[in-house]
Amino acid sequence: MKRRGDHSVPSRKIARKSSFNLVKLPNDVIQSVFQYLAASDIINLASTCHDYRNELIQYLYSNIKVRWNDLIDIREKLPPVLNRYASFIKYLRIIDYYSYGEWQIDIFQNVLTKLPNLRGLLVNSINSSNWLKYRTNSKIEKLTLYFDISANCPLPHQTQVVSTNPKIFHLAHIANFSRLTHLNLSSYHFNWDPSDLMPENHLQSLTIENCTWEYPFQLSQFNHYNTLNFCQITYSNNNPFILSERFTNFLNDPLNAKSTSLQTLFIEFKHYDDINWKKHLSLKQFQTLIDPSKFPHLQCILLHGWLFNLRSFMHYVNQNFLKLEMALLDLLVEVTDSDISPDNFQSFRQSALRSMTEHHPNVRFKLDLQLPY
Amino acid sequence: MINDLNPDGLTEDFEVPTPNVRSSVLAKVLEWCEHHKHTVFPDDDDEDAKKSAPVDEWDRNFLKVDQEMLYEIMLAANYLNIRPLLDAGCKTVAEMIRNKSPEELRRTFNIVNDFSPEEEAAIRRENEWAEDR
Repeated sequence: MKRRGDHSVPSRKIARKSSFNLVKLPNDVIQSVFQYLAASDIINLASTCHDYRNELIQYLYSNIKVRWNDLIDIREKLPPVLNRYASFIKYLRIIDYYSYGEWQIDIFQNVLTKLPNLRGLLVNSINSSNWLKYRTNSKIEKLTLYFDISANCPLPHQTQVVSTNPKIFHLAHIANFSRLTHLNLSSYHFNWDPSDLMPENHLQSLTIENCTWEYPFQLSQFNHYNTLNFCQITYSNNNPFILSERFTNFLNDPLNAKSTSLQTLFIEFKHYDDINWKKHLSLKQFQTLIDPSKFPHLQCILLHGWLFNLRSFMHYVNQNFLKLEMALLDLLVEVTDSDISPDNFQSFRQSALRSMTEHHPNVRFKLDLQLPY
Repeated sequence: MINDLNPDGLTEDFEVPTPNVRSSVLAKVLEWCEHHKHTVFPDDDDEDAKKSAPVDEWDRNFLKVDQEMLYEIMLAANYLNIRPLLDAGCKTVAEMIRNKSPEELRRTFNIVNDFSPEEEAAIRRENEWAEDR
């Protein structure tokens, strides 16, 4: 095979003359540029010429995506691309869900051991997480279990059957993942008894999206050694029972007052249209969050998709005795104040921000208001 | 930044070594520093605020220079550790890259396609393994 480059030496020289060569910037500068770009932009950039590809290949294959079929029957050898770039791979995502793969193929033994720098695994899974109970791994720091039905495209004549049984997650399922510090769970149900003996974990970061739980439930069990510093809870299903019963109880004391390690707490309600079931941010709940005896190290509070009365909140926050110790308070809320209208709500927002900043100059406030419709 | 170098308020002149920085580039960097001498920039550790903030209008015009100059300003800002200028440069370059096909990128950065058609096909196959979200 004759490479085009071999007989087009003059044109390559012209290319070199342009001294702007992005890929010759120092690595940390390239990374700063990439933080503003999507993965697809970097793929396109690495597809322009040999120079760019050689320099960018390490970024291109630090995060890869595979299907279960790529991981099945490999026994000795990885697929060629994975083999070639094995040392670059830090995060691997399995994009299709496949029960057979989960149960019958021990990827932790036959694939992941061949990737020396692998730190994170993302799995699209339709099932409970109990298959992980039979797997062991001492390298993975970050585990994401999510569910995306669109990843398996059924043929037009097939209908996809999705089980309506809840997907169960149990802390015991990840007991053999000794290095795990970051756990992201989406659409799982927790139904363990808080008195069950729980395996140890060293989680630093926990994100639970659209997860539900049985009572009594203690989120603090995810914080075995008081190492958890980031916790994000997102809920976007319109289930009034879960919202009114489960969340109300839970929010009064989200970590059962046992989370002195927590630095960032992010609670978000999304796509939740019916105002009757919106979560009202009560001052009592807010008080719990800013209580130094419960959350002494909480630096960032982010509350999105809540409903609150701006005036009473402001009044509370600006009281003289109230000392906010945090670095960031980020609120994206719908306001219930009857005198706020589309005409004056920007000025309301500005004056609220101004007065909060005046009272608490060390706190950075972000305030996004929505009007009830 | 210069003040950081003599916190005791030394009055005598001192040298900031700037090897490999062309004088025209250094002049640009100093022009930027002069303009921003009273600007308060967000903390370095506030990644979110930095990321979401658009490039300042004055910076945007200031960085409307040829690519060679932009490249050297970024190198100088990196070397002299002027984070806000480096960030503005990175954002400007990111805007030049964003949402462009390989062919459009080649035109933007004057890159000659040195792949054979076979290599291009192989690259397309390889790219399918790279995470794209």
